[in-house]
Amino acid sequence: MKKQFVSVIVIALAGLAILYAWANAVEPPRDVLPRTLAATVVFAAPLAVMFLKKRHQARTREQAEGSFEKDMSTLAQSVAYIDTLVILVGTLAAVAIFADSMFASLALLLAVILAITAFWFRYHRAQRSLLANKRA
Amino acid sequence: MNNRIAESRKSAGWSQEHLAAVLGVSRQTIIALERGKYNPSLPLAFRLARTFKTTIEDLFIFGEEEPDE
Repeated sequence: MKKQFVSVIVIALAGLAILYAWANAVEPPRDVLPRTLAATVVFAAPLAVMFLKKRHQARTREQAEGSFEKDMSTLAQSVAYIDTLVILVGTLAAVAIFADSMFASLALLLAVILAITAFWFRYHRAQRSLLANKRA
Repeated sequence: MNNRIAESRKSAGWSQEHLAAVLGVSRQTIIALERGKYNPSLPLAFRLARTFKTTIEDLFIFGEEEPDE
């Protein structure tokens, strides 16, 4: 449960980082309708992706108790959590150095990409480890 | 760890997909289990044994494996 809570926080931070990068990259629309549409797209897209992912997981039972995919996710989350902390600290330093420049936004975007990559790297390592009958 | 899951499943006339649905796990889990590449958790091992109306000792063959350090 604690790890799930941390995951939600990390995902929320990643979402905020994307929003921040996006807000710095585009000229905000002035009219109400385009602003509403833009906000809807920005918030609905991740929600739609999460909904589709959850539906796929429910169908394949990948995250059911006992499935080895769940074991891999748990192992990957444990290690990627530390990776993400290191990435966040590095990003904080980069943002402090590149304050008020485009590089600060790019650093945040890079942090999101690195955090996701770290998880998938750890997931595949956990898969190799589990399928070799060795506990990571 | 070797096991008799595939043998028991075939005796029951079940597909891997059906066994996965009965146990509430993914089909990949059944594949990995049958190949002996994945050791199930204790609750899943009990569920498997109960599904095939046997015991864990009969379903899983514990060899002379080196214990993990």
